[in-house]
Amino acid sequence: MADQDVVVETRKLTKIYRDFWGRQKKVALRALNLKVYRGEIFGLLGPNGSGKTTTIKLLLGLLFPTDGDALVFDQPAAEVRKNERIGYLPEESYLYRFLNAEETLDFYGRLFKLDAATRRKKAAELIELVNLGADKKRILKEYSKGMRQRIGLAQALINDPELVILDEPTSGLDPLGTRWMKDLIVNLRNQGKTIIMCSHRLEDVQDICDRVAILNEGELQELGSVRSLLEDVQRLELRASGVQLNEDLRKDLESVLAKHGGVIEFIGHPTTTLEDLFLRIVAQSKAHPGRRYLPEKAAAKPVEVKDSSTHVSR
Amino acid sequence: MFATFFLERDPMSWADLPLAVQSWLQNAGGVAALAVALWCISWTVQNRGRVNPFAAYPAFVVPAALAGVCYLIVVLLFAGKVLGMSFVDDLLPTTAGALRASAGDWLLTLGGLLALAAVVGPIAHAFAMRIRWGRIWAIARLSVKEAVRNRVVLLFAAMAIVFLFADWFVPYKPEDQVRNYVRVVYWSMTPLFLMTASLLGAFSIPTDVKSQSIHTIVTKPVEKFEIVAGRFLGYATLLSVGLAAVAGLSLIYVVRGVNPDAARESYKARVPIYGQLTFSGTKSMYEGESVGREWGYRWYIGGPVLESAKMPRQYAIWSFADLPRDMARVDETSSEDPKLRSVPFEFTFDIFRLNKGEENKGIYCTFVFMDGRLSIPDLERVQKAAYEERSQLQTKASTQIADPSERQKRLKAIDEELVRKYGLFEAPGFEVTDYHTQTLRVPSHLFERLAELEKERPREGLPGEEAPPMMRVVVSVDHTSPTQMLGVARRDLYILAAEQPFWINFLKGILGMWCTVLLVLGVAIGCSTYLSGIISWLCTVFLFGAGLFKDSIRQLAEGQSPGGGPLESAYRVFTRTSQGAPLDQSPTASLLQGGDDVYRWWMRRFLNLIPDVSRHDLHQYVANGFDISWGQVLLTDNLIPLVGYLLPWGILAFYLMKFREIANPR
Repeated sequence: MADQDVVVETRKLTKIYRDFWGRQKKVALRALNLKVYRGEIFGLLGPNGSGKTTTIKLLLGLLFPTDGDALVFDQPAAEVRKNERIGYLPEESYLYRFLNAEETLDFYGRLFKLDAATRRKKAAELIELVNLGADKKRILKEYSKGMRQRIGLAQALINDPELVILDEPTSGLDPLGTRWMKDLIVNLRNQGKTIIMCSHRLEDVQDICDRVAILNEGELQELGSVRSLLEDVQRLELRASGVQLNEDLRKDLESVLAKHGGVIEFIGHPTTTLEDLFLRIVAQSKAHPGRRYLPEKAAAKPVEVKDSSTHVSR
Repeated sequence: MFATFFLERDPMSWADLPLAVQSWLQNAGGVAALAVALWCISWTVQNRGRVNPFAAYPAFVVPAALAGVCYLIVVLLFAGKVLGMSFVDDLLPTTAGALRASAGDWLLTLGGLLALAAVVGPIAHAFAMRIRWGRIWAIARLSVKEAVRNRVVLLFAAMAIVFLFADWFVPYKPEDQVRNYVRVVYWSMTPLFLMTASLLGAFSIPTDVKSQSIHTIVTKPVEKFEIVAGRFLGYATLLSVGLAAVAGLSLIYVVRGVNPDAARESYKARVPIYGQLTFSGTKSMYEGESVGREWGYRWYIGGPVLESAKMPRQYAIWSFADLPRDMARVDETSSEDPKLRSVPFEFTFDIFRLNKGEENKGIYCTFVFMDGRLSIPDLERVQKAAYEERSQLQTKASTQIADPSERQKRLKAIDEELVRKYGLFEAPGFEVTDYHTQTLRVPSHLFERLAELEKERPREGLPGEEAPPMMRVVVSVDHTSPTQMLGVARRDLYILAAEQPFWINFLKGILGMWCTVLLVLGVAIGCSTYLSGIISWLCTVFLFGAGLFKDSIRQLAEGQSPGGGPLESAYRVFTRTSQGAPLDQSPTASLLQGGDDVYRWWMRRFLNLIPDVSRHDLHQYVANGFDISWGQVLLTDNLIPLVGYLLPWGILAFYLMKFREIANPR
C-alpha cells in the first residue's frame, strides 16, 4: 500500500518498565516495527504479557517509549492533537460510574468541544446504536459488564474517529453481544475507519481482522493478512454439495488423489460453529416465544397448558 | 470580659509588596533554576549533542542560559569574598532590611525571574495554543457531579450539629455573645472545610489513575494539566458554594437576638487608624517596662513614684503621621450636646497591679492629644502654661458671669480657645479598666487647629530625620495610681474612623477561610499529580500543620531560638550548660555550631515550602468587631500571598503531569 495510507507506524518501538530507582523490571516491547493502513482491521494477538496492551498504550501516549518511535497520523504518539481523530475503548470500560449514559456521552463530547446540539444529537444516535435506549437514564454503576462495554464503545465513537483502537472489545459480552460487536467493527471498517484491536478470542480476530501481528515476550513473531497466515498450502480442502458420502465416492476420490500424489486425511459432513448454532437458537426463540427444549419422550407428549407461562412447549 | 484585638504582625501593605515580590522571585526562581539545571543535565546526557537545544527549545534555553549567567556571577562574587577581595562585600546579596538593593540581590532577583520565565514559557505556550477553558470546565463539572453524587456535600450538613448543640457548651456572658458565637462558627467551619478540601484534592487524581478512568480522558484531545486545572476549579467551585451556604446559615446563627452588651462590644466593624507606639521615660524609645509576662506583646509604663521624683515620668506615645481631612462627627450618644462634633478614640489596655488596689476600680491615667511637633519636654511646659491660663480664665469667668448657663458656655469657650492656642487637648484622671474597650471623644476643634497648622507651618524634620507626626497621643499613669502599671501595645489605641456593618465583616472573614481552603486544595492536588492519594493527603496535612507553627520554625531557621540549633542544644544538655550561658570556644562547640548553620540553611529553604496559614485566619477581626479592609487585609495580605504560594505549585503540577506516564503502574 502507498505510504500515504499509513495511519499508524512504529519504528523500533521499545518499552522497558523500570522501578523508582531506574532499575530494569521488564522488557515489555522490543524493537517493534509495524504499519497499519487506512481502512483495515488490524489485530494484535499474543498471550498475556506479550506486549499487546503496552503497544496500544504507547500509541495512545499513555506510556512513553524507552526507545524508538510511535507515529499516529504522522505525529508522535505523545502529541495530544492526534487524539481528535482517535477513538479508544479500553479493555475494561473505566468510565465514571456516577454518570448515566447520556451524561457520559455529553462529558466526552465536551472534551472534543462539540456544541450542545451536536452533543445531544450524537449521544442519541450512539445510545441507539449500542442499544441502550431503555437504560440511558440509569447510572453506569447499575450496568452489567456488557452494557458498560457498549457505552464504552459509544464514548469511543463520539468524535466520529478515523482510527478506532479497541482493547479486548468482546470481553464480557455474551455471544449475541459478541456478534453485534463484530458486525459493528466490520461496519466501521466499511465506513472507511481504521481499526486496531487486540483480543484473546482468536475466533473473533480470525472472523473480522484483515491483518494480524502476533507478539510474544514483547517481540513481533508474525505479521500478515489473516488469510495468508492461516493458509496451509500443503493441504487441500474440497467442499461439495448434491452428493451423499458413500464408499463409491470415497474410492473415486482416493483414486483421483492418488493419481496426483495425495491422500485423503478426512472426509465427512461439515459442522457449523457453536456460535452459529447459538445465534440460530436464540433467533428462533425470539421468533417463537415460549418454545423450549424437551427430551424426546416428553416432546412426543405435549405438556398440558395450565397458564399463560411462556415456558411450555407448543 | 477578657478579650481584645491583637495582631502580633502587621498585615502586608502595598509598601511591603516590592520586598515580598523580590523575595518571591529569589526563592521561587531559585527552585526553578535548580529544576532547570537538573533538566539540562539530564537532557544533555540523553541527547549527547544530537540535537541543538537552541534550535529545539529557544523560548526555554535563552532565559535559562541568561539565568545561569546571573547565578554564575553571584557565585563568583562569593568566591571573591572567600579569596579576600574586599570590594565585593558591597556587591554581595543581603539577607535583611527593606528592598534589598545590592548588585548581588538584583542578580539573584533577575536570575530567579529568568529561571521562572524559562519554566513558565512552555506553560504559557500551552495555555495559548492548546489548553482550552471549555475542557477545563467540563472536567470541573464532572468533579462537582462526582462530589455531589458521592454525597460529599452531606459533610457540610455536619454544621447543623454545631448550630443545634453549640449553645450547650459555649460559656455565656452577655457581652461576649457575638464574640463567642463567631469563634464557635469559625472553629467549626475551618476544620470541616479544610478536611473536605484536603481529601477531595488529595484523592481525586490518584483515584482516577488507579481506576484507569483517566485513560478515557487523556486519550481525548485533553492536555494533562487541564485535568489538574479542572479538578481544582471544580472542587474550588463546590467548596465555595458550600462555604457561602454554610456562612449564610452561620451568620443567621450568630446574629439572632444579639445582646445589647454584645452589640456595643463587637457587633460592629470598627475602622481603626493606628499610630506608631514609642515610649518616653523608659530604657528605650521602643520598649517599655517588662513585667515578666511570657507573652511579649505589650510593654508597660508605671505611674510616678513619689519617693523618687528624680526618675523621669513614663509615657506611652502614639504618633499619627497623617490624619484624614475630616474625621469629626456628631456623637449621637451624647446627652450633653447633641450637635457636638468630636473624634472618637478607642483603647483597650492591660493593667498589671503591683499592689491590690481598689476592688472593681481601674487605674487613673491622663490622655493628652497634641500637635505632633510638640515633644515630651514641650508637653510638660505647655501643659503647665495651659493649666495656669485656664485657671486664670476660669476664675475670671466665674467671678464676672453670674448666669450659670452663660458661665457654662464661657467655660466651654475657654477650653476651645486653649485647645486652639496650644494645639493640645487633655483628658486627665480617666479611669482605665482592665481589658475593656473604652472610648474617649476628642473635640473636633483640635483637629481643625491641626489642619490649620498643617497649612501655616508645614512639618519638617531635622536634617537626616523624618518629619514629626501630625498628632501625638500621650498616655501616662496618674499620681493617684502610683504603683500600678499600664500594659500597652501599638494596636491598643486607635482613632475610630468609621463603623461598618457586622454582617459584611463576617463575610469578609469567610473570605479569609476561603483562601485557606483554596490553599489546602491547591497543595493537595499539586501533591496528587505525583504521589498516591494517602501520601498526598499526609503531605498536605504536614505542610498545613507546619504552617500553623511557621513563626516558631522561622525563629529556629534564623537562629533566634534560645540555646542554639539542635546540635548546640544537645551539646548543652550533655555538658549541662544553661541556655543563656555562652559556649566555650572549643573545636567541638565550633563544629556543632557549624553543623547548626548548615541545618539552618536547609530550614530556611524548607521555610519557603511552608504556607503562611495564620495570615488567612481573620476571625479575630470579626469576633472583636474590627473591620477587615478590602485593600490591605484581603487583597495584599490574603489574596496576593495565596496566589504567590499556589503559583509554584501550579507550575510543579504542570510538569509532574506532563512527564507522568499515566498507565505506568510504578
